[in-house]
Amino acid sequence: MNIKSFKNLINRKVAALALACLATGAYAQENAPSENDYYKIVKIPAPEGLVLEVGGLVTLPNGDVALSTRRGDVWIVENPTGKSPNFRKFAGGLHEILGLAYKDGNLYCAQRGELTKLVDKNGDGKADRYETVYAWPISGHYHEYSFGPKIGPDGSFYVTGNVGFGNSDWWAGKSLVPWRGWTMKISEDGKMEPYAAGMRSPCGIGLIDGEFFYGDNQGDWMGSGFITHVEKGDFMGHPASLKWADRPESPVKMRPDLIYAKVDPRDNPKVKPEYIKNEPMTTIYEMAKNNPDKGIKSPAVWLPHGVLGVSTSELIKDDTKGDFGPFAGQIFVGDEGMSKIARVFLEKVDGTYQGASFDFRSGFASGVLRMSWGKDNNLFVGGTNRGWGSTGKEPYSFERLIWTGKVPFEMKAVRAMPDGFEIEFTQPVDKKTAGDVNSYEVMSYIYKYHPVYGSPIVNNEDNAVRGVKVSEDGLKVRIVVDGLRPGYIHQILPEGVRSANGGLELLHDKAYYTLNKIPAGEKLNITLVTPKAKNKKGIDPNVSVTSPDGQLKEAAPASAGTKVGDKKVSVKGVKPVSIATPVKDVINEKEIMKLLSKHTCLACHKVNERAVGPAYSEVAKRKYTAEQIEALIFEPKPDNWPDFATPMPPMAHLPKGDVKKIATWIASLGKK
Amino acid sequence: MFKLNDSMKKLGLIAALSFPTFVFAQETVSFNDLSFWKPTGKANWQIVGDVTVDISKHDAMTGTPGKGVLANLTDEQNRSNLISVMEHGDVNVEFDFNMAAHSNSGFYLQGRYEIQLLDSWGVKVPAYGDCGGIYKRRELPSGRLYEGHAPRQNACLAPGLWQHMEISFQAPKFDANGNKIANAKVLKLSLNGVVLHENVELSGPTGGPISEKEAATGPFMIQGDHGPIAFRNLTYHSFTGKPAELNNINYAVYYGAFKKEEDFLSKKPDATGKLEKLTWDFSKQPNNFGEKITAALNVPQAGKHDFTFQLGGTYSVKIGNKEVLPSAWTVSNNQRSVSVDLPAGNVPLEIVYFKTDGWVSPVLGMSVEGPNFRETSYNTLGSMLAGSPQDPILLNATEPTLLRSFTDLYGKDGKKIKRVVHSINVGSPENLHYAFDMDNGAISQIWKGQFLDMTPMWDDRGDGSSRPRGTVLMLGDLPVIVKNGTFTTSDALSQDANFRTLGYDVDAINQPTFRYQIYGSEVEDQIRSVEGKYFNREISFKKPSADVVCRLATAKEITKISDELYAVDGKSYFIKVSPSAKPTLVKQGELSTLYVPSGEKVQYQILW
Repeated sequence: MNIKSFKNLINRKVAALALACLATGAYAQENAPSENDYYKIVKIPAPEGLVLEVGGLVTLPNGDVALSTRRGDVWIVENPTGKSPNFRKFAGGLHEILGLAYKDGNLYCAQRGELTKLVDKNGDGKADRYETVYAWPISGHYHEYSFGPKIGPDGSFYVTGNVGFGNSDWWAGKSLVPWRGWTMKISEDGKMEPYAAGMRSPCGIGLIDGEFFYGDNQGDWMGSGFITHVEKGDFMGHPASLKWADRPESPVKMRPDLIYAKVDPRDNPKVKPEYIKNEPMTTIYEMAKNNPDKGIKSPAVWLPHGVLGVSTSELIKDDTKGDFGPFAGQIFVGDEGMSKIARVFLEKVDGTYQGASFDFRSGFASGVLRMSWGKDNNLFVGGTNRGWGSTGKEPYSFERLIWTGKVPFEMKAVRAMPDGFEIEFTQPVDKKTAGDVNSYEVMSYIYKYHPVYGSPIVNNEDNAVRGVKVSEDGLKVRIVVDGLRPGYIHQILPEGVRSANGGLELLHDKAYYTLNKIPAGEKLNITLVTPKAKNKKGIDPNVSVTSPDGQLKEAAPASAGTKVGDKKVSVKGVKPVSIATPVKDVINEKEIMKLLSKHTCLACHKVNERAVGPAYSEVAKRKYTAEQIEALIFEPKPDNWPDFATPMPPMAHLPKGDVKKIATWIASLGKK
Repeated sequence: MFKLNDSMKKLGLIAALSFPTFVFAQETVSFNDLSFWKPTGKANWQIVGDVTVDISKHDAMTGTPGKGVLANLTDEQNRSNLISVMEHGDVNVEFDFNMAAHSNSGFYLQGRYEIQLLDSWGVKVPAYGDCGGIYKRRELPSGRLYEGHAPRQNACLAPGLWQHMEISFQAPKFDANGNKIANAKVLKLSLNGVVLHENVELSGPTGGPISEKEAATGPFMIQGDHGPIAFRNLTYHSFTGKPAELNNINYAVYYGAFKKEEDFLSKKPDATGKLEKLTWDFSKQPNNFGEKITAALNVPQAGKHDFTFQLGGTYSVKIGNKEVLPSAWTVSNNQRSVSVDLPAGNVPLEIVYFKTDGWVSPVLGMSVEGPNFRETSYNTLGSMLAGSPQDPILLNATEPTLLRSFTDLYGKDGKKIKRVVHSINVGSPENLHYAFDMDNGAISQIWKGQFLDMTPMWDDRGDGSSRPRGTVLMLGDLPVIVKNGTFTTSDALSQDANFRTLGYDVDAINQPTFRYQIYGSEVEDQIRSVEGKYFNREISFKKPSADVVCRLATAKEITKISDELYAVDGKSYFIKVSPSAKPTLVKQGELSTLYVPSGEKVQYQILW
């Protein structure tokens, strides 16, 4: 950070402090800092009429950017950070290129059906040799997109391939020809090694410290987006690819019958599997645990659906050593549908990758597909949303994300501890708020592993925060958390924590920690306390809850914990109190907006505009009753909206009272 | 994630009704004799079995004895036009034709309006005087030519090949006093499957008519005074009658979210009334309604009637009190068709329609084509307004243009044969293009005219495929480099070919040379469009294998026309190969194959 921006930061903090005195906890501060204060999205000027639907993006050694488009062109953007970047067409006529890499003076791209090397033999700035490195089988189904390559430390190429779909059963991912749904590892001389299986829509791939990582999208067998480490022989969850696992060249040990013994594939081609609420269920983590030695890899870090994304794209490590802000060494993960970038802190516990995901930056012009570091250590971001839809309204985009030099107040990292988590902040915390267990909320949940498209969050439980220890420098906080569950996402919400300087709220107040392993080690030696039960969002504030006054000192953990958000709140030693959530006649717009935000509805819907899903006003035009809308939220019927590419997952996990309010409000839009 | 492909397909079915069958509207002209035509007194028009053209000479066509083909084999003395005995008004006509090199003819509707037939092979920008053009009018006595309508693009094939033309013509209309009240019109004209004209109004006869005075009816006339031409498969469909009328249209509307017809048909309607034309919008709401429409179709002439319905929602249709379309759900741009034999007189018609999907636009349309009237619409315009169409994404080859996509191959019957997945389209500014299969080194299809429609691939998610925008010749995706022995029409290479594509190099103007390995040899394969007329293919082998040959064509019929020219598949296209390349034509069972031994370089041409 340079001096100038530090001064700005101080000024802002003073201003924010003054405002913080006025603000009440439940509502966001007026004029609170926004993402845009720290990271700016800047458009790169391009010649009018160029359809730059970015499918691949790579920075060349001299700082030029090579960019490939879904329409099959490869452009070299010269001086991309200057006022008038020059666009030179390097190659054209390729088949929906969704990846681009540079190696030893040549560009490599994955077309739908092959890995192609583009060579400029005569040095006129245009490719004159289109060399097929390896052509893989493909059936010709539209969904068989291919991604890559990413270049491994040994110089070989990693390429991933989407599954296709059936004709009548369009909802079921199918591997119609060998190696669809696989990662292929291809050598420079065109030898292909099937590397790992179980992918569904592996648009996001990346090399992190020389290791191959990939991200997938929500879909059938995929409850939500995630990223994970891919090793040879791994299986990532989608069973379609296992059709080829018996082939001699396959390193994959997993077999579909191991899945179907546990989960009914419901593969009747006439019946789309719909969400079943109270069926016995499993998770990909459980599958991996119960089938050791089969290479099943559950996600290293989940990206909760509708929160951090709906369609995972590029993943890229921050190797700017601090030039891009305080997140050096972390991973940025793009999202096409929500036009945003999430951030992942990754750690290895007991040999297994896991870590926390955070919101980072929203508001890109189109669906974020590809990212590449510029020579100036700012980020090039390329987007497209054709046929997929995105929150960003533009059909395509080519932008830069630039750090302003100011450090946001963020959770920098969350690390698993034997008895909870350690949260590292980007700025020192205010010790009073940070030292109070009531400043934190932790809940845990997971997604189902099943043939249904997506999954609501299931098995959600609140985890009581029982103790807090703030480090001397105020940059780290250890929290002791009850009921840690391996295989679960732990949502950590230090809502009450303020920064030491300026009393800022966190820019993003949630961390999603995927706990694959609880580390061994020393537990925190402090006296445990029981937090207050308190009014939370989604609970009618008019209903009083009897709760202990202050922090109840207690030696033993409260087994029941706090269950707020369910019908009953029970804290040990306290009489359970029923909480009614009456729907008021008058619909409070502000309250609805908070509910829509809380339940991630706004990730896909806007009030009056088409986004990933239809506008609420459009839904209202269909004259559904509130009851019908309520039913559709719990069990959506994507067939009703054939113009939209992404089907809505069932929202079966949402509190009925909230859904009723939302449904009533949507229905009311039609009457205005 | 999903598309309504299946439900959007046009559903067709024939209803078997017990009405007697009357008129077959389509007439086929016999070319076993000349009885369809007036005597000319000259010998140039002859019935032959087939014709052969020497494409290296002007106007060189010879006939072979037999029947089924009408040929104009002119000489100095015999150059008459041919005029039919039959006279027509509104008519659809289609035929195959075959021209000598540089030959010139014309097909006159009503003996007055000429569709130009010319050897326009390779013409880049066709004018009114090119094949498929509508010829100019001649101002008399000055002789000045005016009007004339150029084809949208050149779809003309090489001389000596059979071509196909379809014309929908609307005759001029006259009042009781014989005054013209509507001009003649070419409603639609297509050549070799490509539409060249639509709704071209003709203010009067074009040059060289049987009469400058327009009339309600007139004969076909074929120009025979310029050069040799041959015809086969001439059929026509006259539309002499008035359209059936739809009378006594009554409606009943019911409001509610109905699941089936029975939910409302027995109820008391919320409103009833009469209509002038069919429409859905007597319903006061665009959704959650049920409608029942009854009417009488006054059929002027008994025979087969083709009905087409387009409604958004669920509907059934009864004609003659018989259900011809069962209750079924369709989206707004989906049609259902049914052919029904109807007696003359009033035939009852009933449409029952209901809709509960708010997102489906309400539309209601019905059209009928009768045995002697053209397709006629019976709905209001407002009843068919739904949605907004997609703008097409068109790619032109103003310079040599490469575009990889999936390529769908269709048979002559219009059925899809296969999808070529590692395919590349190569376009030339001369408007002769091809698709190359990088999985087996075959030219899968060639086409002329405009380059590609990218909409199927570049709109929305797309399906990864593009479509040629001209007249297409599917070549069967047959590999060219094969083992000598038994030849098949399989598109697959044998395993021992060890085929591996290496991609392609492009030259300074973006023309590709394909590179691949096959049978242990490295091959460079160069296919160039020449003058928009033919492809020159040059295959260079690094280590030619002795038992490998270059198979130039395998087809049911390959005919040697001259020392270097072979006609393939009933004169669909020509292969030209020098005798020095030692071509061999073999017949194995049903199939003939033309091949040359592989050497360091093999060269041949595909003329089309």
